[in-house]
Amino acid sequence: MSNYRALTYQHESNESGLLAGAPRYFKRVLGVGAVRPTVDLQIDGGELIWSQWLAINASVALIIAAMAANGSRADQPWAVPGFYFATVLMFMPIASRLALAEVSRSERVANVMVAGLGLFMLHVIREPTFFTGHDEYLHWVGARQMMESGKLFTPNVLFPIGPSYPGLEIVSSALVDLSGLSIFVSATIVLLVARTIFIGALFLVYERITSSARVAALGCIFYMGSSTFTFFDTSFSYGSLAIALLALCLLLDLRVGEAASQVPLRMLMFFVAVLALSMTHHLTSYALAGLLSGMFFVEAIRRGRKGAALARLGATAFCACLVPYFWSRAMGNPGSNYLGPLFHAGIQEALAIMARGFHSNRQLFVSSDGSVAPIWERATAFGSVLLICVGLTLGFFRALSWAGLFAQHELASKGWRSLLEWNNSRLVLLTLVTTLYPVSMIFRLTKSAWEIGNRIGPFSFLGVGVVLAICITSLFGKGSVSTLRAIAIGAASTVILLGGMISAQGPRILVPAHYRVSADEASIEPMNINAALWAKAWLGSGNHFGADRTNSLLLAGFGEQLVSTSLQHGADAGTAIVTRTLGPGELFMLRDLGIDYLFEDLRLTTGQAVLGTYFDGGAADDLLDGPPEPTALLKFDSEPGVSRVFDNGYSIVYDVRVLSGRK
Amino acid sequence: MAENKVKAIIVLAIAVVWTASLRTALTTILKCIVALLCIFIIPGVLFIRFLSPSKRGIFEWCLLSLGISVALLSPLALLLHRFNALTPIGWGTALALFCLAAWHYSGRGPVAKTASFDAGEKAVAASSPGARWGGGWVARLSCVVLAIATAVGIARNGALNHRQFAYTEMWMLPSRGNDSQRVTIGVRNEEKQGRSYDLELTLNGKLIERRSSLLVRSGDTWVEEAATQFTETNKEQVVEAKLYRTEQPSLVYRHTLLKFNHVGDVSGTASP
Repeated sequence: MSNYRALTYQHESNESGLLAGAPRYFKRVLGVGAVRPTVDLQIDGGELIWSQWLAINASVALIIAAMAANGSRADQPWAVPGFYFATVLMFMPIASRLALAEVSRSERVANVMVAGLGLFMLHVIREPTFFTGHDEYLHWVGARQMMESGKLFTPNVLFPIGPSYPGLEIVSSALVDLSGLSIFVSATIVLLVARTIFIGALFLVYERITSSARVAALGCIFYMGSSTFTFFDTSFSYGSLAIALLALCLLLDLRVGEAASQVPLRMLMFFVAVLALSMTHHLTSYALAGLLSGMFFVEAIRRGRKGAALARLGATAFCACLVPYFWSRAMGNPGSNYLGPLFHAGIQEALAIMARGFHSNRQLFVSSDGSVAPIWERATAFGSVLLICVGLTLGFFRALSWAGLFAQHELASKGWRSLLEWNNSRLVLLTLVTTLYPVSMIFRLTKSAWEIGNRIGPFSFLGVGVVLAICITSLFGKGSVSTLRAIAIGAASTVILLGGMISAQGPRILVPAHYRVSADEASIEPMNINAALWAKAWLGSGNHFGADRTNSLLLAGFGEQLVSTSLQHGADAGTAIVTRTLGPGELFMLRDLGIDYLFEDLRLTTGQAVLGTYFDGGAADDLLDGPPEPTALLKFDSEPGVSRVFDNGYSIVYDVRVLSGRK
Repeated sequence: MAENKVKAIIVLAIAVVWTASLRTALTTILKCIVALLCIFIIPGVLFIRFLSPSKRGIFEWCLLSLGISVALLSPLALLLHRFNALTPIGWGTALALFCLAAWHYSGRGPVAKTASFDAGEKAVAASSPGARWGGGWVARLSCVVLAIATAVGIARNGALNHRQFAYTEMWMLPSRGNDSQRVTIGVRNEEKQGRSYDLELTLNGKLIERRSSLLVRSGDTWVEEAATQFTETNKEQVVEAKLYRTEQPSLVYRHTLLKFNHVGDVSGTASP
């Protein structure tokens, strides 16, 4: 059945040289210089029986997940635990199977795809009929505007920076145009394709770098523990496609680097992918530039480097830096205005937290409306972080050793100069990238920049995945035939996965039975979707609306209206909604913005905003220190010239064109 | 021979997608299949054939085809943007022309005749024993597809039937047309059951019309125009519509009003 070729695993105990003074147990535990790459067992691909049964298991788990999603809508207490149980049922057997040494490469590829696509399907189960995420509406509007105008760069009031990075909308609108499918269905297909590209490319990149399909598969499995993997990077948002293109670019960079011929042609392929990435997402394209520049730097300082390899790496790094730079310049450098203040505030707050001894001003596991995550969720999330930290501690030097660093005999003979000798610059860099993980954790403690921490996550996990995989492979290289041990590894990776899901979604993982104020998926429901559709049908498209956070999305998405946003217009129409009386300032603002209608959702007065803001975080939210008053929302009833044109008992539409001078 | 077949299939697919972009009477499913092939597979396949025929196995080849196809759409969109042609016919034409060009050159590209597998690539390809598909895989794959379809069906059904709020929408807008003193009133019942309503229409506080026991079935919409006669010319005219549930005639259930600054100011018009 198997051809046991060579499974090498070295523990060196040479105590001389640079590290001779270090305690022996310390070096052993950390694995400094103790690990050399293992060679995978050569197993016949067989009939992929295991993969097929694991796929059946995953699809049965999806049925349980779907029942849990429906249970959540029916307010069943078992729904959320049931959903997590389905995730465990789907994921853990695959992870356990992949931990074994006696698995063929083909099966590893198939199993990794089953896990990745299975987790993608959890997103589909959670969002089966329409978009529920805030960012998804921004891109939905962008895609529709692109199709309507037949042009790129059509302004998007909800998302001013969006038209400068239209990659996701391009692919989606192409599919809509040629297939006739709706944007929602097309977006789901595009995201499925993006997920397939990402998982496949990540596997191949890890495999190329470590020369081990086992490490590659485990690396992918651990990567899935990134908090953005299961839901954020499957939403209709530019980052979801961009992360797939990033992995593709890394793969194409490897192909350029290893080519004996055809280098310019492979460079052309790489260029096309980098251009697509630059047109898709600012931060991810900068991350690619950073990764490849880092790899070039690491290769440049390596002793014994080869000129040709360095030149190729330099060429890809140069391309990866230049293309996003020129694209950003051509678009008027929107990224710096968008990301700059966010990073500035986040870094300031993170430094303040560190100065206070890591006492956060943001309560973990507590949402803005005061609801607290159950204890088992908190324990799982902490367990996940703990496992990652332990894995990184044990795996960091093992991964560097895998890359050829800290070879004991060289340490002994050459001293510190040997620290510049390795044979795998890419793996060295990915190992160093894991240092971003604690940085992302610190950002997560902040109020102003937890999102930055969330965005750094997918990039730091490029390193975390492979380092944890090397840690597992080197620690359990010989003994991995043990099924019990494989199950333990599978359980650990499942805890990491669940921890990522919990830290990203927490108790909001499923659509709840009851409406909640400003909670995206818990606020978007059929009644206000119908109100937005009413606006489109009876008022026509393109009216200028002022509304709260959730209804702005619905009016722009379903209602095809123009909505006022602080980001685009510099003033917040919400202030006219929440003030007790209409003063000259509010009237001037309505006139200045050219507001036609105000959409007032009386449910805002019933509770705290779950996500912290009732409007878009601008002036209206600054005026509020709790829910807005009902009398403030209803003041337009007595305002001369203002008509109350729509009422569904919960929401009212006021025609304010007389006040704004539009009538 | 096989090469010619592949080319014939590609030409056929290109022709079909171009025809599809013209919105002819192709079925939706066929259009979807062709669109998926022409967007996610064929451009990448041809581009890779033209540029880099060496492979490291079917998995990598498929993945690169998929990835490059997606990546190629962005430069193509930039080109279409120049002509305001990000439209079905624009995409159909651009993809067809691109695929034809890539196909034309794929047989005579700079590397097609001379390219060979890299030594390293050969080694990897040789050391990666492929998978075989046994007889039962169709049955097992069918189970997977069936289970996924069931799961999505359950989730969709649950989402579509989930309605926390039972409600009635009411609206009133000035009617469209030359008759400036008419208003359109609409009532839509989303109460999950049929309802009986009473409707009261007033002008400046004076009752001008009353409808009793207005039956609207669940999910239905009732729309009617009503005439108003503005009498006072120098004062804001207020048309008010109040909706009551028949079983609670003293409680205003929904309430809309239109205010006119002077006679004839009806610029906002109803248009279903």
